Order: sequence, then C-alpha cells, then structure tokens
Amino acid sequence: MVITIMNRLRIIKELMTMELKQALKSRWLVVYSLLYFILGLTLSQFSLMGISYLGLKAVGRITATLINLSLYLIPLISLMLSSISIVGEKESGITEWIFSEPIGVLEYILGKFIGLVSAISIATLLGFGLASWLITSILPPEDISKYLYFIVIAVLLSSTSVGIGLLISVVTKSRLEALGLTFFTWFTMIFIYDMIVMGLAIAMNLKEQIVFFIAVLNPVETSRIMMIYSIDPALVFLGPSGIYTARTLGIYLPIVLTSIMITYVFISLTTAYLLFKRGDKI
Amino acid sequence: MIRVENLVKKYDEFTALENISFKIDRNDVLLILGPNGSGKTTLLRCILGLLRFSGRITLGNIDITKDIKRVKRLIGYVPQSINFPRNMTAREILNLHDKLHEIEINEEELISSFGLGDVVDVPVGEYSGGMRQRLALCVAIAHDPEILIFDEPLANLDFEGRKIFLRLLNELRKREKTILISSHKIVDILLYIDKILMLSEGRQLYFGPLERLVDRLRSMRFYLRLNTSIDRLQLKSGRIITHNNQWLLVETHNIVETIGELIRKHVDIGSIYVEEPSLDELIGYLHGDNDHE
Repeated sequence: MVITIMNRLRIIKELMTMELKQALKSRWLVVYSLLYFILGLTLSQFSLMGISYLGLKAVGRITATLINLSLYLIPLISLMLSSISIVGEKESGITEWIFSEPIGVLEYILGKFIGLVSAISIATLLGFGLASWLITSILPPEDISKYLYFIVIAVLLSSTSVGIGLLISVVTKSRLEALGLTFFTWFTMIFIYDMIVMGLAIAMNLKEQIVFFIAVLNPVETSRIMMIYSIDPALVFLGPSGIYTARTLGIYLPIVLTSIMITYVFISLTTAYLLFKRGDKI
Repeated sequence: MIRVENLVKKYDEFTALENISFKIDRNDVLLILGPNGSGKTTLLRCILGLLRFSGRITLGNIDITKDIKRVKRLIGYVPQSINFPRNMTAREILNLHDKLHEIEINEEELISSFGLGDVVDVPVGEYSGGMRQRLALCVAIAHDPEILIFDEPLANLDFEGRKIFLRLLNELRKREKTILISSHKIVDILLYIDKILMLSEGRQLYFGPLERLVDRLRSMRFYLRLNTSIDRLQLKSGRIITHNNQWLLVETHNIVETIGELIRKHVDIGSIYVEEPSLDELIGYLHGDNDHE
C-alpha cells in the first residue's frame, strides 16, 4: 500500500516536472508574466497618481482596482491553458505515448494539474510580484502583506480554474470545442452568474445567507469576496449580504472560502478522473 | 503469453473489432495483416489498454484490465505515427521513460545506436517523421520489455531507419522476445514471422502459422485456358476473379468440384494452370479483393 502510494507520487512528480518544463520553455509563460506585470504596474501607478477614481496612496485601494481586472484575467488564462491541455495531447497523439508508459489516469490528471498550477503561479508571481516589488518602495510595510495575500488568492483562483479547465478538456473532443466551452464557462462565471444571483435575490426575496451561499458557488465570486475581505474585513462593500456574512463567520471567513475553492478543485479533478478513466485514453 | 478472447471494440454504432480471438506463445512473432481500416491499430491499442473493449486480454496470467500498469512495464510500443511533446528533447524523453520504468540506461549510447546521437539535445519538434520513429523504437526497447508491439513500423521509416528496424527485429528474435507487428505489407518482414492474424473490416479472417496459410491458399487458385469465349458466368463452388476471351482466373476451395461445375455449364476448357500467387495476392484473396486485373 505504502509502496503503491510512493510509486504514484513519484510518477506524479515526473509528470508535473515534464509539464512545468514544457511551460517554462514555451513563450506563453513570458507573455503572461509580462501581461500581469504591466497590469499590476500600470494600475498601481495610476492609483498612486490619483488618476483613478480610487486614487489614494494606499495599497488597499490599488488592490481593489486590481481585483476586478485580475478576476477577469486569471480565470481566462488558467481555463484556456488547462482546457486544451488533455484534448490537445489526445488530438496530437501524445497521449498514445504517455499511456503506453506505466502511468495511470490519476497520476496523469494530478501531474497535469500540479504542473499547470505551478506554471501559472510562476507567471502570476513573476508579473504581479515584480510590479508589487516596484511599488512597495513607496508603500508602508503593512500594505505589502495585503499584496501578498492578494497574490495567494490569485494562485488559488488559478488552481480552481485549472481544475475546471481539465474537466472541460476531458469532456470535449477537440481543441476548438474545448475553447468554445471555456469561453462559455468563463463568461458565465464572470457575467451571467452575477446576474442570475441578483435576479434570484430580487425576484425571490432571498435571505442574506442564501444569497451568500449561492454567490460562493461561483469560484470567481468566492475569490472576489476573499480579496475584498483583505481590504475590508467587515465586507461593507458587499452590502447587507456581506455584512451578515462577515458578522456570522468572522475570522473563519477566509477558511470557509478557501475550503470552498479547494472543494471546487477536488470535485473538478475527481469528475475529470472518473470520466477519463471510463473512456478511451487516446 | 498473449491471449485475446472474444474481443469486441465498438465506437457508438460502429464495430471496429468483432470477436477477435487468438493466442500466441512466448518468442512468437505475430504479423497482424489487413488493409487500412481493418482494425489492426485498434487491436494493438486494446492490448495496450489504451482503448476500452469487451472480451478478455491476458498477458501471461495478468488480465490487462486488472493491472494495466504492470502490463505496460512488460511492453515496448511503437505507434504508427508517434508524437512526443514538441519542445522535449530525445534525452529528456528517454530520461522520463527511465524514471517511469525505474531503470538506468546509458541514454547516449542507446540513442547513438539509432543514429540520433547528433540530435539528442534538439527538440523533437524539429525531427523528421523518420527520426521520430527511430526515437520511438529507441524508447520502446530501452526498458528491455518482454513484448514488443510495432504498429506499421516500416510506414514512416526512411531507408536508414528500415535497415535499423530490420536489424533490431532480427536481434529481438534472437533474444526470444514476443513480437506483434501490424502491417498492410508483408514482404520486408516475411523472414521473421511465425504466425499471421488477418483482419478485414474488423473481422478475423485467419489466424495461424504462415506456412499453413500459404499452403491452404496455393491450392485454391487456378487459371483455365478456354477454347471458346464466355460472356457471363457465375459459379457456386468458386469465385471468378477475372476473365477474358481466352483465360479465366478462378478461386476455389475444391478444384475438382469447380471444374465439374464448369464442364456442366458447357465451358470448353483447354488447359489448367495452378497459380502460385504472391503473398500480397493471397492477402487480397482473404480480403475479398477482386482487383487482380
């Protein structure tokens, strides 16, 4: 039993390393790092200069400005990369080689997941990290911790999106189909879901806790709450629902929200594993 | 060594393999013959556990659906058209293979023996099809597997690659490996084959020793020289492959019965020549191929 687990972990490590090496060699990592860097730096600079409507010399405000853009960008990039990964390897015949090696579906899925999350995390840390390093020279030390917290949530959102992306990759039959489903999923998470929650809340006069519960079923919304919590622990920005949640859960809120994100990863990967195991490998 | 029982593979309504059953022993070299789309590759992929199927496949005493990872350690596989991740080098691919199989080999030496020594650190995306195929051969034998599976091994190989492959095949035979080769041509590898499995449209046409197939078929085909011309003719005991005013080419399981039927139909036979068909023609026969003109 122990040998089997050790053996599986060893294979996952090898596959993760392969995935990461490939990502490091490709151009997308550099492009995304640069994109995150420019985004972080530009918005920070504008905020510091007082050009943005927030325009205050406080890192909390800068982070607030970054929240919405990163909530668009992070899931999109993570979903796109992961959703074409398995179906792309199937299409190009690489899975025929991979599954002729002594590799199981579980190791393959987990190796892919950890490899992709690591690669995206590196891009996020490089981009946002470098931008924050530049602006921290003019910011107080306590704000730096908020920035780091923000980066951690970004990585968590990436992980959730990669999990969902891998599930998309398993259920689709071509790269094109995967990309189509990816954009639909992304659009739903970013725009449609919010509208549904708002519509339901108004139409059915839902209670605060139910609105909160429905909202956090969307990982993007969960991340948004976590990010806002970092600059506004009372969640006043989120209105009655936010205040109720902050009062009820208190300091446990980040733990609850993190657990929801991890549950998302778990459900996505388990479903992807079961579906992939049930079907043909190539 | 390998036993396949009632193997069926379906894609929705389409049946790719229908009730395939055969058994080969250790050290056997099995040639899986058939035209394109006959199910050769699907069969090999089922044996490797890459596709789901109904029926039963065992390697030694291992049911492949029960312990596929153990099975893969016993097999070296070269697909018809191999694709490795484009930005990995041959060294990285072999290195990963070694780690997955928990072996240590001299990668440099192995790669050089396949004529890839100069490109060992070049991304495989820059390789030609033949070079990728050679690398696939290299990976397939690196862990010294008991069973080797080659899917159309000569299809994408250049002249140098073919020489390397045939030398390798010879060596593997000497080392008493069990080998499965799929091909739609037979000539190059005829010398190395023990048994043949013939497929057509997913159905098993023949399984057995090569000699038995040839003997069986040689007695089934003959030319008739005609004294009178014929227009339209159909036989119950045989199949007319082609004819003109002077010649009739017939296939039959029973030459005496067929000649009797021709006489009864008032065909004036001048002389009979039993043909020794080429192997490709024999395959054509089993495929039900009528195009021999």
